[in-house]
Amino acid sequence: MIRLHEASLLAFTKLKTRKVRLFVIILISCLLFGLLVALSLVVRGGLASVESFGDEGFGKRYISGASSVVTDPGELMSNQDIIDRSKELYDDLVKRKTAEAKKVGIEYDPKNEPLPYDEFDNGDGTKSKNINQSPLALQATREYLEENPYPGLPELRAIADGYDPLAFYEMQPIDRYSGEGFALKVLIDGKEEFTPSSAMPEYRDRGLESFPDMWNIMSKDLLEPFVMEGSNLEIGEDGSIPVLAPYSAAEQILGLSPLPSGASAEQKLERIKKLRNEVGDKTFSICYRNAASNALVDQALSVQDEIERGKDDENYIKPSYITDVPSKPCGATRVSEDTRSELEKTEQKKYEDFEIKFGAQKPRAIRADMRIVGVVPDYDMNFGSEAADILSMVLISGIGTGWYTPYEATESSELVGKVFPESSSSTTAFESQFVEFASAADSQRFIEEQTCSFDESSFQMADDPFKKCKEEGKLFTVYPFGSNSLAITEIKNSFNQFFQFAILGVAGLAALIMTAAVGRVIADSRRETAVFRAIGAKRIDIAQIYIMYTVFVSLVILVISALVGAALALYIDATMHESLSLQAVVVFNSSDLTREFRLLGIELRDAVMIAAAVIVAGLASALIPLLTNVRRNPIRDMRDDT
Amino acid sequence: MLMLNMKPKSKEEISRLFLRSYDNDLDAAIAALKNAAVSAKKEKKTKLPDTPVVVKLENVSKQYKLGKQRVDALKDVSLEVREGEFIALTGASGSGKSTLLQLIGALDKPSSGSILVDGSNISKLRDAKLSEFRNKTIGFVFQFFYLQPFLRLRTNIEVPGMFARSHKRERREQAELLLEKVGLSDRSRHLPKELSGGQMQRAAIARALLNSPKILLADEPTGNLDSKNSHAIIALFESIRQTYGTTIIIVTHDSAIAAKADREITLADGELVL
Repeated sequence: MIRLHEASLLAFTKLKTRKVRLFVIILISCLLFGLLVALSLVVRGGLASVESFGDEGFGKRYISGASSVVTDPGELMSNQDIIDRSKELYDDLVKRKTAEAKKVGIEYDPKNEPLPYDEFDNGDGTKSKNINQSPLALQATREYLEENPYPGLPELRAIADGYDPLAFYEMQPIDRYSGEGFALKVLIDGKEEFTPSSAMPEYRDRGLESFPDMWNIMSKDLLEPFVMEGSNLEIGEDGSIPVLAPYSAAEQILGLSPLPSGASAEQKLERIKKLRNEVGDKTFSICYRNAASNALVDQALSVQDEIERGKDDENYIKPSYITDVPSKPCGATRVSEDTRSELEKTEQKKYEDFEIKFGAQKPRAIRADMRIVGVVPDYDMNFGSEAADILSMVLISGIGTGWYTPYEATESSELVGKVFPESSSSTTAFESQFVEFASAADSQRFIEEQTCSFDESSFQMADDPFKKCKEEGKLFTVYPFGSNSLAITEIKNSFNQFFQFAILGVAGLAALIMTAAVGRVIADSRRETAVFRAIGAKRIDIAQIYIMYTVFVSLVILVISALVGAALALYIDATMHESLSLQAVVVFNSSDLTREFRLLGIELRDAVMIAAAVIVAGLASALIPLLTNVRRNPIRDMRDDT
Repeated sequence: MLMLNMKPKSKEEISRLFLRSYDNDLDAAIAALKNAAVSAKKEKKTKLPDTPVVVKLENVSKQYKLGKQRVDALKDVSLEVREGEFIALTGASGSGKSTLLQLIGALDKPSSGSILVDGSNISKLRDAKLSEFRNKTIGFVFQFFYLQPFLRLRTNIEVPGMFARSHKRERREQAELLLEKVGLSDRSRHLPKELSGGQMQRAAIARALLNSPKILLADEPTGNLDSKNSHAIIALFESIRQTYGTTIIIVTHDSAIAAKADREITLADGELVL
């Protein structure tokens, strides 16, 4: 073999032939490989940025959420055991009330005793029963759930044991519609608005008004990463309850108007800065009223309405006992007029005592201050570019949207201690448990092996979609929670796999394209090859020259591809990094608002793979023409000349 | 003829003696002189120098396939060439002279017979050994020069040295020397396109000589040159033979060039014509 630098010298002369063809081939190849380079730089840069942002929040934690599949509130409502038990409780209550009424000398008509279930016509001549929200129905449900508990934390602990779990957590959302009929209101500007409880309040997912619908209690450890500097998750000395609030609510509290939809990234970032700086430990008031208190307010509203309607009627006689809505927010209803006789008062008192004896609630209203200790993104934060939105969806690191108070507050706050247990009779079904693992591998394995996959075919046939899971003992639907760690790991793995195929594809395509140039150059050089052979070149010397030539071409392609790819990645980064940085600050709840999300990152593995692909593509393109060329008889090629 | 061997005393005396031997018949004397000149020339051309045989072909035949037909390019050719000889291979187109040159130059192998060049039976050498043999023993000069168009003259001349893996410094010195020999010292940094045809052929000859081959094979080296350059190239060959003792075998159609060779070997239909 000839010396490398001499082979290079001879190979270099080949670059001066077929320049136009070579230029076109290099251009196409550079675009192909340049795209790969850009893809690698952007994706690796993005992942590196995600990991960097992930230092905060749940970024570096591997938490899996678990929701029980053996939970169907609809099934509970029509559960015959519960209906039968509620009927039993009802019959017993009627019996006991009848006896007591006789004993204390009051009138009691069992027909006025509300049934614990509602009957409805199926439309085919048959009737069905569903339990309602009466105390007896709730009691029957609770008894049933005590005997037949939904899979919860104990069951999760049992199945997670084999995966080296680090910790377990819980979360429960509020459910003010199916609990014990309590009311929860935000006192906007310190005022309580009174509406009949029969008027279903509008569901809100933004602002302060979203609080009664989107309040959750969650294990303190899961909330800690999102608490603002200077704040804490303890009940305040003034009794204030800590809560993480959505941005929209924080804006409202600070008296800020929502940003227009077309607001710039700078404006949005400034807004977040302002919220973070100013909303810490700001408070707002809420009011809890139990069902009895609610009933009194309803009664007051009803009487007031009646009087209003009868004021122009000469024959209208006002009730002897008139109450009005509370004068103070979250206060008790007040008696505005009481013209009852002493006998009437005594009878009324007897009746009230009678009801309390049989479990009727005493009216209770609790006012509390909520203290904002952190902010979380709103449900529909729109930050502009589609890529940023996708990034937000895929890589979000946080507890999600809504309001969050530590689970532990159920014990230290009377209000929290009432609201969540009272909404748990049916919403137990929606409680979630969480388990944290030390590694992505453990978490991934746990999810893959223990999650119950939804059986669509069963669902379409109106069967229990989780029947198979229940038979297999898979009691939970398990999913990555809060953290993007698993998503990032998954994305990395998928990208690595995709990148390998992309490289193979591009290299193959490039090899085909390059064959057109390299093959032509080699064919054009047959006579020169013959002359070289005549003056002493071995076949391997000729091969070496053309291998060096393809290496040169490949190196040129590699360098230009790197430049093209870098330029493309720089352009993408320059175009998007601002909005992505903002989005990342939001989704990662980053405390450092100046942190940047860049789309430029070099992964040695990718660089080596691309470089190897370019060189291999070049060599592959030379293989067939070269084999053909060196095997030719030099005489033949020289003879062609004459 | 014995008369010619006598020691004459003067030109007049020689003339008298010469004419007397032909009975003072001037025409017969002139005819005898002409015959003697032709015989002397023939004697000179057929007489081989007293040097070792460097090329020996024994019953060499070469057939080619042209489509389904077999073409006999050479038929049972036997030939010896001695060191330092200047041989001209002549013959009509297709007579087999280039084939003979390529076989001697180890660019091809005979269909039958043996070829010994510088003691090596080249018909038995493998491809790599043949390349090595060509590189060190043979120097090729082509009609169309075949210089690498993108290499400067000195580098062009060095190319055979690259295949021989010779030391760069020695190779460069040799190239400079040869450039001087062929009269192109001042053009060593030029590209081939900046040279005339004659200069390019001289450069090609210098390239052929780089590895000091024993045999220089030239396939119509003047075929692409004008008369003046052709004579200069032939003079250069002669000078090379004088300087290096190189055996030179050229294929030519030019009878004037053939006449300057030590021996003219003519081929017709693949056979030697005596």
